This record gives sequence, structure tokens and C-alpha cells, in this order.
Amino acid sequence: MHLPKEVIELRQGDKQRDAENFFNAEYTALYRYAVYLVKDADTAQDLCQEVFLRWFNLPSPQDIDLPRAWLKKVLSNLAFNHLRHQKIRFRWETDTGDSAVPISVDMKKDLTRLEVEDALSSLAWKEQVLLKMKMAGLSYAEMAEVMKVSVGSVGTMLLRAMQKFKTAYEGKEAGRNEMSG
Amino acid sequence: MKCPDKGQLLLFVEKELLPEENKRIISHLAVCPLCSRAAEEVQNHLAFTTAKMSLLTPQGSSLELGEQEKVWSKINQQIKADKTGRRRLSIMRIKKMAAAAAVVMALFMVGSIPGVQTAAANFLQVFRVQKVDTVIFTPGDMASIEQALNQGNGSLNLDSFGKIETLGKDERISLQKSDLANLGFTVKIPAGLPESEINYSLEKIPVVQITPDVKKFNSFLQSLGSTNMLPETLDGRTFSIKMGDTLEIDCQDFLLYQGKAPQLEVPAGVEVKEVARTLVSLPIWPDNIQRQLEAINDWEHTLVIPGENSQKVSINDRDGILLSENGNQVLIWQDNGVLYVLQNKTGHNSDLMVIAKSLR
Repeated sequence: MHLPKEVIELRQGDKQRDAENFFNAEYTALYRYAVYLVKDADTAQDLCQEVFLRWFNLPSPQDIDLPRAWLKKVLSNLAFNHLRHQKIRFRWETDTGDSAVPISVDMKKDLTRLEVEDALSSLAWKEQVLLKMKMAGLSYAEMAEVMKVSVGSVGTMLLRAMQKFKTAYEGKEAGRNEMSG
Repeated sequence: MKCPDKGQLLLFVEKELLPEENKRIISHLAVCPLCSRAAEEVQNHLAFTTAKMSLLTPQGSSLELGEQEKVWSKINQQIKADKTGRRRLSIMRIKKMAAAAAVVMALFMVGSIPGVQTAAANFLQVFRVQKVDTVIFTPGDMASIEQALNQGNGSLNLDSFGKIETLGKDERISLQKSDLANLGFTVKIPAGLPESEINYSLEKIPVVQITPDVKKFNSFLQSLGSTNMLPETLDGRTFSIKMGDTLEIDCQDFLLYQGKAPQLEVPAGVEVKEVARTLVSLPIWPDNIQRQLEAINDWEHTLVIPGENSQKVSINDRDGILLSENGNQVLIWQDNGVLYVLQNKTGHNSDLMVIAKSLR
């Protein structure tokens, strides 16, 4: 209902600048988080785009206390849904897609990182996402919302995922030690 | 107390338990060496996983930032596309649709109680919305309407119609629950929600006044190929659309708006039906739209909401419209002189019909 077009257009100049500043301030962190969750640069970009669109379409974004946490939560949600649809392909495509992102150049760190990724990839996709969300600092309530389960179940699932991760990682380490020793 | 499961121990280690549960576990651990060891183990698992996975965390990695500017320009395009009303649906868009409707000479937004005249304004007819209805269109319809409009002389803008003004500011005020009794209409609240999760605010919506320049408008109609014209008697007469104050009820998963149904004030002697007929008969409408417009025989009563995926529904015996697009749903209905708009927040999929029926 609101204002005549002329007034809306006048205000849009300011709004446009505000929106762009907000985007520039938040994009990097969100994109990194997206890549971390879905491991694919193109998908990460699409997810970020969708999250920002939803933000700019909020009726009253000023009411959200922690915009960054909101962005992260919505992205987790979208990523989770994306991975659910992708889960069959996901297993085969771990780390091999054309747009997989080169993560670092430090060789020694890279090796350990690969071991971590390897151990992680032996877990169910839900467990992987859960661990990643936890390590990226999402609260238990937020994880529960993304997974659509209770906080209590998040505790149980997360613990099981950590146990599996540790077993898988130590199994690989043991394998390597046997080979070298 | 029996031994807690390990998931609960993780929540304990993470300080995620309620104070009383927390106390129970502390006193249990003091007497149960098994659980005490299990808690230690849980802590080790957490520390181990955190340490190893820190190599993967987003902060710990340097990576290419993938064309930030490209993403921004895509977002911008999308926002613009949204403004034309094609893709995304939001309460803001409904408000814009209503504004656009006002521009089309109040065709899409006309009040009820035909002929009722207020004592204060003997020269005005006051109509209040009593019904909601929808016109379903496809993207193809929109394109063809746009094309037809472009064949007219000059571009379509506010000036084509005369003068459009707003009176008053649009502002938003936070409310307490105790304020709800003084809004001038009976507020309904969804049942079964904890008070702490509900926020109230009042949005003051300005009155829109339209004073048509009939000559200009008719020449525009003519250029579109219309044979029906607006009557000369409309020239310089002022129509007003009053939305009144709208209450926003912000719940965890959804937003509920409610306010007195919009009201249209029309100068005495103006036949709303005649104006509507002229506009419905415009050659710009694709056949299926025209048929739908013709089916609305009651322009004085009806708030028409165009939508691509809209359906008529019934809420406690009142007609409503359920609009959905890209998984977002908006439910609009009218009951007892109050207009309700109910909308899921992003990422939520509550059943709007159930919430609507639960209002008390």
C-alpha cells in the first residue's frame, strides 16, 4: 500500500547502498562457510545468492539481532536440503567435481587435512554436515532446527558422529603406522 | 537417578542442559564412577574432533573467493525481477500489488456496503472490503499484458492517471499485549503459542488519494484500442483508499497481519460498477484473465489479489485466498470486517490453514 512511487524511488538510492554494503561485509564469511559445507564452489555461490535474496526479501530485517548468525543458519538449512537431494551422487563426487575448491597450499597441513577429509567421508552425510555445523559454531538449537530434530537428539547424533570420526581417523593412522613401521 | 545416556553427557559437557538437569547430572557423576569416566570420554571425543576438524573450518582455510561481484549483480537482478512481482511472494509484494491496484483506478480494490453514506460525509460513498477474490495469471499472461500496454501512447506511469497522493507517514510502533484492546477491532491470536515467542507491532499505513485526470486517462485508453471510456464526471474527483492501522504479530515461524478491512471512499454520483466495466473491457487482458475479471460481479465488495499460483480456500466458512510461490505461502482472508494476512517466515512450512483456523 504505502508510498507513491516517487518517494519509494528516492529511498531506493539509500537502500541500494545499504544493501550493497551489507552484502560486501558478509559475503566472504558466508561463502567460506558454504564451501566448507558443500565442498563445491558453484553450489556454494548459488546457496549464498539464495540466502542473500531471502535476507533482502525479509519484511523487517532490522528486527534480526544477529544478521550473520541468521545468514549462517539459513545457509545451513539450504545446504542440508541440497545435500539431502544430492546424497546419492554426493558419495561418488566427494572432492572430485570440476569446481571443487583448492583449499590451501601448505603441503604438510594438506596431508593431515586430507586424512581428516577421508575419515569424515566414511561417515553418513548427515553426520558429516552435523559435525561441520558444530565446528563452525552453530548452536545446538540451530542444529536441531536444521536437522528437524530435538536438541536431545542432536546430542546423541553428534556424539555418535564424533565417535565414528575418531575411530575412522585412528584406523587410518594405525594403517599408516603399520605401513611405515 | 539412572545413568544418563551419552548424548545427554555431551549436552552436559557443552553446558546445553537446563539448570535442574545440570544439577542432577553433577550429583549423579559424584556417585557414579562409570558415568564420570564416560563424561571424560565424551569430552575427549569433543576435543579430538574439534582439533582435527579445525583444519577444515572455514576460518582456517584460504580459498578463492569466487566472483563476489557476479553474485551481487545476480542478486540485484533478482531483486529487480521480484519488484515486477513475478517471482517471490512476500507481504511487501502484496502491499505493492494493492498499490498498483489503486493506481488502476481502484478497480482492484473496492469497498462494500454499497450506498452507505456516512453522516459526516454526505457527499461520499464509503465502501469496505467484505470479500477477497483472486485472479490467476500465468507468466505468459503478464508478458502479453505488458506488451499490450506498451502499444499505448507513452509509458505507463502514475502521471497517466492523474494525481496520486498519500496522507500521513508509514511508521511502525512496538506494542505490548495490553495495547491490543485499544486498536478499534478485535484482535485474534493463534492458539497454543507461548507468550514469550510473540511480538506485536503496529504499522500505520498512509491513506492513498487518487484524483483522476479523465482526459489524459481516456486518451491513454483510446491508444490501447478501448472503446469504453471513463465518464467525464470523474474528472477532478478524489477517491481515497484507507488501510487503517495494521497489527503485525510476529511469531517464531510465521507472521500474521490483521487490520480493519481496507475502505474505499468514492465521490457521490460515481458508479463503481461503471468504472469497473470500463476497465474490465480493456483490450489489454488476455482471454482467460478477462473471463476471470468478468466473473467478479461485485466490485464494491471485493479485494482482488492477482497471483500465479492462487487458490480459493475456506477458513471457518469465510472465503480466503492461498497464494504460493517458490515454496512460500501467504493466506489472505476477511472475517467480520477485519482483513487477515498470514505468511510463513523464510524456511518454515507451517500449515497456514491450521493456524488460521486456530485464531482466537
